[in-house]
Amino acid sequence: MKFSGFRHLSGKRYCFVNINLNSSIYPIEHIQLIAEEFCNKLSLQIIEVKATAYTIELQAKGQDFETAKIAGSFLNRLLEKSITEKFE
Amino acid sequence: MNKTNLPWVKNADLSWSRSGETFALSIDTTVYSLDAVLKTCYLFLDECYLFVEPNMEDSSQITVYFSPSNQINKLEEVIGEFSNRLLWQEVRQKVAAETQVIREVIVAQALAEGNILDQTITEADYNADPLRIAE
Repeated sequence: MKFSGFRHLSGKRYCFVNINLNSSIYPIEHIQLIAEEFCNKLSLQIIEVKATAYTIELQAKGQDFETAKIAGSFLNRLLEKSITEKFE
Repeated sequence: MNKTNLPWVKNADLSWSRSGETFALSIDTTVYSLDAVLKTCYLFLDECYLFVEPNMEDSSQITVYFSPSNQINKLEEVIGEFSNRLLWQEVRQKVAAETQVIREVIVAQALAEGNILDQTITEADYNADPLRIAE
């Protein structure tokens, strides 16, 4: 997990978080479903897909300092989805 | 340096949270199953932000990262409670596996006595006497 960011000429700060997710714990099929729930809060991009893992990039819409919290909520929701599907 | 009083917990070097600290709990899957880890994580989703990451170099290790969310008061207490719950979950699964057969027998017996699969017998008119009791 890696945070990065830059400051635009306009003064606005942009913050991104790259997260490497293991497919066995966070199936990639769930990404779209959960992303739809968070579409008002964040922008999401799947950057790289490998055999057992994939990388997503998240950016909070609005104020950049919220990125970490929204990413945390997103990951919790993704984990919840994986667990309920696995044990239902 | 470990900032908690829990010697099995490490500080995580993730820049996960700007305001709070992030801790990492390494779990040996030869002791605790992945199912037990995930079920325990489920119980704590409302307490803090959780991230589960298998160790690519050592497949017997899983790391769970904890980061404070809005609701949390003290992350150390949550991780301590998580550790106890993980042990409880693992034991629960082992007991469930050990008693699986007897539980299935008890349920099967209860269902058989209720005749829920063949209600034509229990719901039949006594004049029809489907079990031929009167013969």
